[in-house]
Amino acid sequence: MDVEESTINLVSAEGDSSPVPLSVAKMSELVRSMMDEEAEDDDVKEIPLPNVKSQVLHKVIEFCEHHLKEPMTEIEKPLKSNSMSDVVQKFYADFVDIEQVLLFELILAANYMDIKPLLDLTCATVASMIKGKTPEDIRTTFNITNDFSPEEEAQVREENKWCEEA
Amino acid sequence: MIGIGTTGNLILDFLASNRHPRTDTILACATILLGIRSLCKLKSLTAPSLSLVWPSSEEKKDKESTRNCGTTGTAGATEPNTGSYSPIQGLPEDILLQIFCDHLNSPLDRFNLQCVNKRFQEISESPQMMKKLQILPPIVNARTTALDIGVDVDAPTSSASTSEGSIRCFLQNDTPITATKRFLPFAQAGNPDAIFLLGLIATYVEDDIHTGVAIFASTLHQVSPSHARSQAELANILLRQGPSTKQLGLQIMQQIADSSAHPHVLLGLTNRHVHPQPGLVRSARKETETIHHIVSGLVQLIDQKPVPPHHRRLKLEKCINPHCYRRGYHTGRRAQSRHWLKTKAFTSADQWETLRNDITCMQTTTCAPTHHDLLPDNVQDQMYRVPPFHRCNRCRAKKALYCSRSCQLQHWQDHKPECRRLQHARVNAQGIAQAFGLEGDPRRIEQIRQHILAGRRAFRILAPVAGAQDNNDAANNDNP
Repeated sequence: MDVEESTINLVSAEGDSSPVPLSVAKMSELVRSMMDEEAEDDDVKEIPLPNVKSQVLHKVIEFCEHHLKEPMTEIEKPLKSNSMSDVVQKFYADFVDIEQVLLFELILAANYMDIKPLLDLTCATVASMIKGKTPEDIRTTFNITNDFSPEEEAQVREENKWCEEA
Repeated sequence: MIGIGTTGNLILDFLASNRHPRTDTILACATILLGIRSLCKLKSLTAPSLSLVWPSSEEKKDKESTRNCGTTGTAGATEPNTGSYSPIQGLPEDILLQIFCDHLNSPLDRFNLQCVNKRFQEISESPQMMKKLQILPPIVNARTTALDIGVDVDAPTSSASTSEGSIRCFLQNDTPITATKRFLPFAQAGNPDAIFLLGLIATYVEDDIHTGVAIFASTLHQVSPSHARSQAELANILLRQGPSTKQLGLQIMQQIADSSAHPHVLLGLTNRHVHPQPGLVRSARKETETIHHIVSGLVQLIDQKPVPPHHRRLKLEKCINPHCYRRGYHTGRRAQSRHWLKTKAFTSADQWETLRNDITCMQTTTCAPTHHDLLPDNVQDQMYRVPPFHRCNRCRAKKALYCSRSCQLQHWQDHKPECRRLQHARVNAQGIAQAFGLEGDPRRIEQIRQHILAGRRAFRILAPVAGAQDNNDAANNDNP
């Protein structure tokens, strides 16, 4: 097709709209289903995404654009390595090498916009941060407070002794 | 809130253990109660647990916005302000569950998660997580590895070192009862590895083939790599139990082979003269390693069983079949030990009975075919029959029975000195019997053999016979 590919405007929570090629936007099942619903009107449309902030939306669009050029390798389950660069291509490993807050927002956005590869990638990243760590490490990594009483913790450990024993 | 949840669970537990005539109503109540709990859980999470996360009241706004994203599961999160709160708490439960289920399903990771905090513990105790937990290393798919020959040469070695550490299903001081209790909840959640282990414990440790077959058979409705171990074991048992179940065993084997789910079965059914593909051999070798680990665990469990002291000395190793001589347990002694158990009135047998009830309940709740539906009628009687074994052809001793030729070969080094002695006794006993004209009396031959084995002179017991039949003693001298 020699026709210029039509674009669509994705509107973030702040109200910024970013024009995105249709093929890129359709990676999101949410956008796709919204498009299908109002397929009759063919002028440039706007899709409001009130749950996604601009910063996150830019990351999402960046991911989708690159994914069309170079599809991500399927992530093996369960994870084989703690480093994402062993699991996916370099771009994707760098892509998720971000601070935690943004990462979790990306997860929520991917979940909301229903973009499966992005959700897979971000979930795997979180998993790679947990895998093989001791409970104390996990708590410090994610800044989680230990809400077990000492007795409860001892009980949990006793129940799961068989997992721990090497 | 917790009260409601536990009530729901209690009802579910009750349903699992009893078949109540009004099951449907109760089930509905339980689901409603559990549903209420999950709602409550969301609320309780946003309020008390997060206030724990922020002990200081510095950022009330942050708390507000994270509560939003916790309850609605949207991305309306906070300004990036990392140090003071934990953003992972803002993720909704289903996403956390997805992360845990997909990637963190080794026992060690699950253990670490459980110890982090209460929310993580709850999530990792959900049935989905229980079901997905990989207690044993997964079977390497034989057909895919067979395709890429040589490409993943280094992959098995690297994963072999991890798998070594990851088989930790039995503890040092486990008894069969504790092990069964531990795996039962997993098996009830549908965890294939737990079902496999339970089946093994029932069949080989508790010596209860009926229950074992029932457990293994509960996986029959779905042939997949995750269930292939149980099915292969079921087929093995059926093949061993005599001609009437052999056909069924072969059918199951064929089914597994068709889905190329189990490397051992594939290897076993391939033509002996065709060289198997290296990928298949490699995955079979890995599987052997896994099985070997499990068997050593089972042997440990058997050791923990209250058995008569003189049985402790028995050589227990390698072969998974308790009837096999390589294992050291064969029918005669097993029967003895059971009798010993009864006379000594150990409670272990009773405990097993109650656990067995739980297991059979698991059976009915998962709606799988029981062994009653599965097996022909006459099989029930033949279950305990001694299967056709390979007997050592040299000594032809009654105890030297092997379940397979490979067992016999592997056991030969240990059996060799004993075999020589036994063979000697057998040949000599036959010679002596011939000399005295007693060939047709197997009881007598056996008596002579026993005497030779015990190091006594055979002619002593033959003396009255010799006198009665008026044989000359010269014959005795010919056969020392």
